[in-house]
Amino acid sequence: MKFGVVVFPGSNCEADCYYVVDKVLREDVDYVWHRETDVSSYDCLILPGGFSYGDYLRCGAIARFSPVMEAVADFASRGGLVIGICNGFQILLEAGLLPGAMLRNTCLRFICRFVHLRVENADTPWTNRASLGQVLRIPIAHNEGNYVVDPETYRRLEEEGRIILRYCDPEGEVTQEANPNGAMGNIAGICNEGFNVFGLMPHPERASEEILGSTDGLVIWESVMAYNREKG
Amino acid sequence: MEKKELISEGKSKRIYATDQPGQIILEFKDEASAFDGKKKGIIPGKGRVNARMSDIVFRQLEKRGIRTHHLRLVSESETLAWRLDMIPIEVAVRNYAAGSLAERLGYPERTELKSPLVEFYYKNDRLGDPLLTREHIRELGLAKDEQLDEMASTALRVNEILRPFFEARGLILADFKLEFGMREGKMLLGDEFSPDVCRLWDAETLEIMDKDRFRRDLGGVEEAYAEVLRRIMEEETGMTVYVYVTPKKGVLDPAGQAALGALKSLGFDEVGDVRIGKYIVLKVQGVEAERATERVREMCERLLANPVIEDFRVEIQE
Repeated sequence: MKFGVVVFPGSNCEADCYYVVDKVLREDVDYVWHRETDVSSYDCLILPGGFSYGDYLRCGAIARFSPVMEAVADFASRGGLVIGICNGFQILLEAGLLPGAMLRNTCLRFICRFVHLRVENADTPWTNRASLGQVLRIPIAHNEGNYVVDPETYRRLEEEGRIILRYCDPEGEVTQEANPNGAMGNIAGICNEGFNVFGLMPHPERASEEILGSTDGLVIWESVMAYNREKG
Repeated sequence: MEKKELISEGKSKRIYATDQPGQIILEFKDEASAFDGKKKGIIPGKGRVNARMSDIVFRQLEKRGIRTHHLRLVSESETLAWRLDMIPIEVAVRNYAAGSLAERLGYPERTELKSPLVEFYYKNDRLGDPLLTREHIRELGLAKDEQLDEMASTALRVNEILRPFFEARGLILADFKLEFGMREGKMLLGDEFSPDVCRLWDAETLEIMDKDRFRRDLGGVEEAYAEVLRRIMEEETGMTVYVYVTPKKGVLDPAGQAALGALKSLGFDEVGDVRIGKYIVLKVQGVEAERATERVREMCERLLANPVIEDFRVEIQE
């Protein structure tokens, strides 16, 4: 399976993603520069975290107009697998590949810590190796993760099972207290209608080895690899 | 006003008829040629620059009493003008020695001339646009003596107007050529005024900012044309646009809430709500106010605001 890690000026998690794919998953991986216009040779594109274009104006607002984003949109429209992590998620929102937007965390602080996430749908390319209701321990690191969307779209996301991860407590209860940033419905990760585009605020690449304190992020990588294998 | 059939096509412009008698549309092309068509190329955006620059320069000249064929800009790269019966003579005015004059007089390039110098060239590709004396012109019957006098004095007057005009914009007007034509018995200035028909040097760096960049393969042709236009348009139609971006009604504004809390704790009990947004100031050139508002709204929708969470308001100051 071939991964591409899209690098924008200001990305800073691209090396972590590359490392996990290369050294932990032992799959093919390339960096894809933001000026690239052809991404057709990849099976899965990773939009990593960071501060693309300094996060000026709004997180992801300028990155979405990078030449590569047109190629990413085209790739996604053909069913290509795209995962946006943290700033990558924000870029997918700005680009309209996922619905909604990000506000500042209600606490007005940058939060960098482990959180618990409940798997809300285990029948997706990204979670097929997890079980429904499974609790994952994965870190977040962001200032704008307060997800918001209009009520109508929220209802659709729920009905269509496109809310993939919710912030929860260690027991898997989705509570106000377990919501680190004020996100609507404790949303930590969502998919598009085709489930081939996934955006999430937590960093699975930072929870993919024992030495980092958690390997719960691996389930996402293993799921997408299994999906790709089965798809043939 | 409606664009009708193509009347003629030159190296840098196409001329179209219109539904208005005696009026034509000049469409400025991106195609460039030099050395009587021996060198050809494309300068992206040139048509747009030349149309706008001609519009600005001709309006400037009209304001100062020079009669021109120019009526108005009708699109990005088209102008509307009176149709003239063209006199096949190019009138050059030179302030500095450059190009063929430097060769002819044996002056080093960029020597300032003692006083502005007027020359006539025969507009004839087959002959290679040769230099003409008054006697040549009389012999060829191209123009009457009084017409030549009028062309020469108008050209010098144009130089008096445009030299300081460009100087104020950091550009030295080294030389230029004009073409004239007749309409209802009166002589009008025709053709265009653009970096295609003049030499402009940056006043500080002496960098070449005109078609010589193309003639001599200096590179950066497109950029030089755009820069010339930018400097000319700066004062021409500059306006300031203020954009206010605020969190949408009903969207939580954590920063606003924090400020509200702080204000309350300071005793400002009268404050009911605080919304914190962005204030963006844009300088816009070369468009009418109405069009500018439209464009800035588009900028807001596409980039400056996120319609999912933000509202925006646009104010314009001319």
